[in-house]
Amino acid sequence: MTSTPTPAPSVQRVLYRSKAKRIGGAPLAPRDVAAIVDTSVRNNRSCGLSGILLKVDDTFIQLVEGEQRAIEATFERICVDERHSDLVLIDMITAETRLFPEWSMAHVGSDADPMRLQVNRDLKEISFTVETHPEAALKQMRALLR
Amino acid sequence: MPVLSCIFAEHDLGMVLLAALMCVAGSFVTVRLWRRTLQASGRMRLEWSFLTGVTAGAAIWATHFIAMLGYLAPVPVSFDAQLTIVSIVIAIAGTGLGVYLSAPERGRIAPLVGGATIGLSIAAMHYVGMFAYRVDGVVSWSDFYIALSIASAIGFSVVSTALVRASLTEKGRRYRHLAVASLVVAIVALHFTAMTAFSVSPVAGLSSGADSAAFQAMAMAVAIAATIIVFTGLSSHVIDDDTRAASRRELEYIASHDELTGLSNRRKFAADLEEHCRPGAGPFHLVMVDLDRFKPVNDTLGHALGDRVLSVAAGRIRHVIPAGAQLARLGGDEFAFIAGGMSDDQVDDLCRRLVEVLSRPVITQGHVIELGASMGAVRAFADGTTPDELIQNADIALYAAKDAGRSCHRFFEARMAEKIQLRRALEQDLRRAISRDELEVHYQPKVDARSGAFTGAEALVRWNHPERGQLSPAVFVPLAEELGLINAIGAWVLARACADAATWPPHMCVAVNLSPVQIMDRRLVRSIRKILKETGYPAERLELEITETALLGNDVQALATLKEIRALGMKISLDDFGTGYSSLSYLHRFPIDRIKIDRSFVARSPNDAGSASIIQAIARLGASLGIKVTAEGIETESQRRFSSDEGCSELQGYLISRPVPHAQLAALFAKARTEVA
Ligand SMILES: Cc1cc2nc3c(=O)[nH]c(=O)nc-3n(C[C@H](O)[C@H](O)[C@H](O)COP(=O)(O)O)c2cc1C
Repeated sequence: MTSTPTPAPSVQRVLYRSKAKRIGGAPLAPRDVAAIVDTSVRNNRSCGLSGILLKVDDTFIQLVEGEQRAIEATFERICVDERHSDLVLIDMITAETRLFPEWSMAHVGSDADPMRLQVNRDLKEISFTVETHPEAALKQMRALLR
Repeated sequence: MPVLSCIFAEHDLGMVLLAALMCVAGSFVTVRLWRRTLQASGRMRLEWSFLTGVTAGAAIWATHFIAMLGYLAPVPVSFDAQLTIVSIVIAIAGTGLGVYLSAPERGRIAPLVGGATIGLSIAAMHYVGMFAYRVDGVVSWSDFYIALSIASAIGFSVVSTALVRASLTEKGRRYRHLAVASLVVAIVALHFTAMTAFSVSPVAGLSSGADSAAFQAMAMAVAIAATIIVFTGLSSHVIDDDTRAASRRELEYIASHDELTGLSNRRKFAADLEEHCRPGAGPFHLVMVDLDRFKPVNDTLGHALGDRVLSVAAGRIRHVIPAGAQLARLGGDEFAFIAGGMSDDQVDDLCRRLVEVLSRPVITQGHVIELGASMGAVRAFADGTTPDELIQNADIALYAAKDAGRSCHRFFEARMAEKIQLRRALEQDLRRAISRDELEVHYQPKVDARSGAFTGAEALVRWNHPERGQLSPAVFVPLAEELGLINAIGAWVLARACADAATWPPHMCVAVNLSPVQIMDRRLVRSIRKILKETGYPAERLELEITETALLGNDVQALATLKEIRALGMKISLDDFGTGYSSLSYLHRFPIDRIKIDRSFVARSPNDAGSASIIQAIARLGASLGIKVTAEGIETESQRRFSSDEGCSELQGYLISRPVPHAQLAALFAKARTEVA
């Protein structure tokens, strides 16, 4: 006799993009981005969220996943943050599993390093496809971390 | 002065001092509690009376007893325990009752009855106490001083009662000290006048003098016990004061704050604004914030979620504006804040950031809600000096922001006010236009493209404004739509047109414009039916012109209405074709009998190739779908020929005739008939 597996508690995923510049202001410095990632890692760990933050040129693409209430509270904090602008919600779905269970907030950014040509190319592609094919883009984000 | 000599010669002054202290402290606390009693009502008043009675009674009795202990009797002295206790009970019950009786707000006799009761009970306490005071000697009493003592106790008690009552009013607060003083006088006067009435002389052979050491110890004990009682009374009053202050603060908070968001409410905001507008206050900015698209959220997703969204929005505003700014929720989805010490540019930037942050989606309870916000800002005191003026001008700026397409902000400018004033004026006038018979229908005839014979006319409403002259529908129809007057105006025009057209030759049709708002109105069909019945005009000769916008939004409702109109035999034509969204699918889905090519294409034809080919295309489209085509705005012979050659079946424009009053149109038709005949 096998016991029926208890269904995994559902995970809410929020995917959005925004411009990496202050509202009506200057682009973010690498230092600012690092600060955002640090806070995100710290906060997300304490409320059980996971996800990834990409920075493709001047665009942020972020996926946050976790329990609904934590997601809503965190997304609200992100929404009052003036360190990015033109925020567009791409997708919000409920899923069974996490895509980035081991990352409180992974961060991948494009840069000028020639050694990372492939990564830069992947990031570009993700930024092109994320709005039309979010599922595929997420898979590709996942692959970035291998 | 026998009373004074009684105090100084026959008493231990230390004890007298202690008694006096007791009396003053007791009276002070008594008056406080007394005032509280008079402010209470119902059962609370009874309870406070009891507490006041206990405190006052204990203090008065202790004063009396300590002073008695200080009385230097020339003979041995003892106290009867039972009578002593009776005297305490009299003091407590009597003053309690007196305080209670002094309470009623109205009636002159309340202070008299209450005060007299207190005075009498002080006296009764004293004389019962005196019976408890056993002296081994010959006692004699002076009736005069007994009477004087009772009279003064009552007199001063009544005065004290009147002062306590007077001290409850805002102006009379200072009387409370006088009330304490006269209560002290009542107690002291009674005691020492009564002691003057009393004299004792030793009986020969008995040892003399009281045991002063034991008496002093007893006096201290009584004083301490009484002090404890008095302070208990005081502290209950202080505790009560604190709780009352706390609940008053709580009430004040509730009265000045919005329950949902915790922000200041409209009342508090008005007070804050008033404060900022006081003479000598520094400049500041007032910004009104109105959420866009909130009403549908509330209507479709429910109030609970609507409330949630409002508090999220409030949180966002609070987060973005400076910490010192005063933010309030004025009601519904309307917020406002006052920010001092900022330049116009800074406020401009702040508003921009607010617009952006408020335009970000809200995710709550699994729903994604797209909001937005419009804002109007005013500068104090450049754009107004009084709160009313500032609010009004901020509202005008807010309105301008909404008018500019929402999700933006505007600073107040004087010309905005002018525009709105014009609107307001027109608004007033438009409401009365129908009843004052200021509307008029003109007709622009249409002709058959082939024969040139009249086929009918389009009805066009005009407004003969008493001061502004003739106004075109382009000016007042949008206003009428907004004010909800369009249905009434539309019905009036329809009725007028049908009545007029009923006199035309039987093959002629009248065309009447329907605004999108009218098509959304479920009562439209019933109203048309009624008009047709009343005028006796046949439905087949009525053509209703609609624009594409009418079909855009709620096309299910529009489709149902149009089908019903069609079923009654009327015709439907699509006006201004080619300008709007011009989706060909409309022609398929909706029951359309006629297309009217927009005048802008006709005006540029036949020379402008683009316009010419559009006319061709529309004409051909009509032919293939079996829909008739009318060319509007024909002004030249070449336009007439071009449109006619391309296959338009009907023509309308200045070349044929301008819109004319009905009398003139009837003449035109009659002339044409005689020419044909
Ligand atoms: C692009 C971007 C992504 C962010 N992602 C997160 C996140 O995943 N988790 C988080 O807690 N905060 C995130 N933040 C930061 C929040 O906006 C906010 O600054 C932070 O939660 C405040 O935390 P603190 O109160 O601990 O400083 C992000 C900010 C930006 C601009």
